Amino acid sequence: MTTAAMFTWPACVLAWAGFLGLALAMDRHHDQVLGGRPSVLRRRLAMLTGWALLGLATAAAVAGWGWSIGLAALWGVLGLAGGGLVLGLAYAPRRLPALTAVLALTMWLPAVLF
Amino acid sequence: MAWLHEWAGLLTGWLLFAIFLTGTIAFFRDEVTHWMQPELHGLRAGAGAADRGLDWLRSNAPGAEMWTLTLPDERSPVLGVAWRPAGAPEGRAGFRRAELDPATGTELHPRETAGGNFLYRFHFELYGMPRETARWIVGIATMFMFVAILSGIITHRRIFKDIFTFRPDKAGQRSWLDAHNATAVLALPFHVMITYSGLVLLAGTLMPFLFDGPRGGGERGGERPQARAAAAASPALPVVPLAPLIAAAEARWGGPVGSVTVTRPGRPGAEIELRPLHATSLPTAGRTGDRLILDAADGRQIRAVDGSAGMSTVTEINTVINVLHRARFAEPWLRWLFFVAGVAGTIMVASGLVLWVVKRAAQHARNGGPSIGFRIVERLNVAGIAGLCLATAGYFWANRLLPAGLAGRADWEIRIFFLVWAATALHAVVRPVRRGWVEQLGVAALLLAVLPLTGLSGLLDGDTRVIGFALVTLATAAGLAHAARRLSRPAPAGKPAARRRAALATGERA
Repeated sequence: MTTAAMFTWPACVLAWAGFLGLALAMDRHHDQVLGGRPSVLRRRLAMLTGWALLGLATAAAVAGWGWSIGLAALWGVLGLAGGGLVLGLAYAPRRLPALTAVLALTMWLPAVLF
Repeated sequence: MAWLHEWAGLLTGWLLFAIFLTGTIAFFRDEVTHWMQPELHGLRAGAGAADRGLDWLRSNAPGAEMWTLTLPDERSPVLGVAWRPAGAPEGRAGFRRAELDPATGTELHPRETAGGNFLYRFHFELYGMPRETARWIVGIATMFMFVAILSGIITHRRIFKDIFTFRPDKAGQRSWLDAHNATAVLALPFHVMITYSGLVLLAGTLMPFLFDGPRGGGERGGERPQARAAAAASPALPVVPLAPLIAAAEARWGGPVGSVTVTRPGRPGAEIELRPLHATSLPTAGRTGDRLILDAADGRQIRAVDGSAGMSTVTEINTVINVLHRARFAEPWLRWLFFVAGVAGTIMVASGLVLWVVKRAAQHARNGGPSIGFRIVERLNVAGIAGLCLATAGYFWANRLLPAGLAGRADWEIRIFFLVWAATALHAVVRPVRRGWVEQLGVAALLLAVLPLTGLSGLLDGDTRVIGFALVTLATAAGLAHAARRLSRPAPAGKPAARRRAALATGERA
């Protein structure tokens, strides 16, 4: 089951980043994280990137578990990433960009370690 | 729609909280059982465990009609053996069982406990009442849950807009509403799946007319040749070594073998039957009935049974839903994800119940004091939420404190669970509501925080199941302690109603 373990963490990170993109397309969260209201262009870009990253998270889950279990697992992945982001926005919104960069770096760890 | 959501949630809320809490723990029921038998901690699975089990059965259960080996796996390191002595009664009651060390093949004597199975059973059959009745009650609660989910999506129209919003420091109902929404929406697909599949699992009880014919899938054994067992016991014939057979079967199935059954061991026509541990994908989940039947004298394959053959589509779908609900296919990573989603569901139910009270507190204060119904609900919340957490902690402690050799030990553990729960109900009635929350949450946090010390030997042995249990226990203790601490702070100045509301709102995130 090495593959599933390898793809779980990347799926979580991608889902987190995707949700962050969607959040940044919203006025309140954009203000919390980056300050100010997003421009129309930036809002669209954040939305687009967000959905694209969620698509990649789906792909990672399917790659790790196959279609049937992958889609079931994706619900768990989305819940975990979303829950983490909710807490992040509540307690440390300004640090989220840096935190996301760190997470993106750790995304490759399972592939290296396993 | 709001009234439907609130009342569907409230009327079954405490039951749903109990179902969610014990059901979430039940995702790890094997691990919980393992933790509750410290005699088994630190076992190492060795290669060739199956043959060691066979040796043990040869010397301890000669002349049995059937031997069964449950092989150690990542969730339980024990090698289970069971045998049916000649002339034993039909069914499960006819089996004798023992537990062996997989590395040495010596018999182990763990303490008697219902372990995680009690929490699992309680989750859908409650306790101390006829099974059918309990399933009816849980089934109806599940329907209410489904109604609450659907009406909740309509009631909280803003949930998708506010999906990432959680404002823990806002007083009053706002932060409770945020918590309720966030846990509900983020795990929404999980809630729908787990509730719907739960309903399907109980459908046999609620709508027995749906299952007229023989139920496939459940009765996996099919044409087991027990009837022919009467063959004369001629000079004992050997059973071939199992290790190579198991290796071949694992290559064929692409997954581990879960159990081995030898029918009529040592007699002519003896057969070995291998079964996979679990299916590796959902569409093949119905195939947990796959079997390989081999000749015990030379290991030749007699036949391979395709577990899904002859299964109707309905049965197969039912099996898939069943497997999904119980995460039976799940390897550890996925099991943890399901567990986290289950925790979110538990918090969702709890925050919904507290929200009902918080929302009405100000109103009642304006109208000259709380009504009797309100007072009942707020106290039921204490006993139903904090009390159940305390009772669960009590169950684990009972497992460690009761003497290992006590007669009827497993029943005593369960009795203590209910005694503690009853005590918390009494406590919730006699103490002021806020003190009740603080005291029960505080004691539960303390009990859980110290609990890992009682599994110290397993921790030091590096037993991953024991370590996982300790981590979850500590995290839960931290959450409960946080809630208790915030509730115990002096309430902010203001009108009594506002103070009460703030007090309720800031605490309890069990």
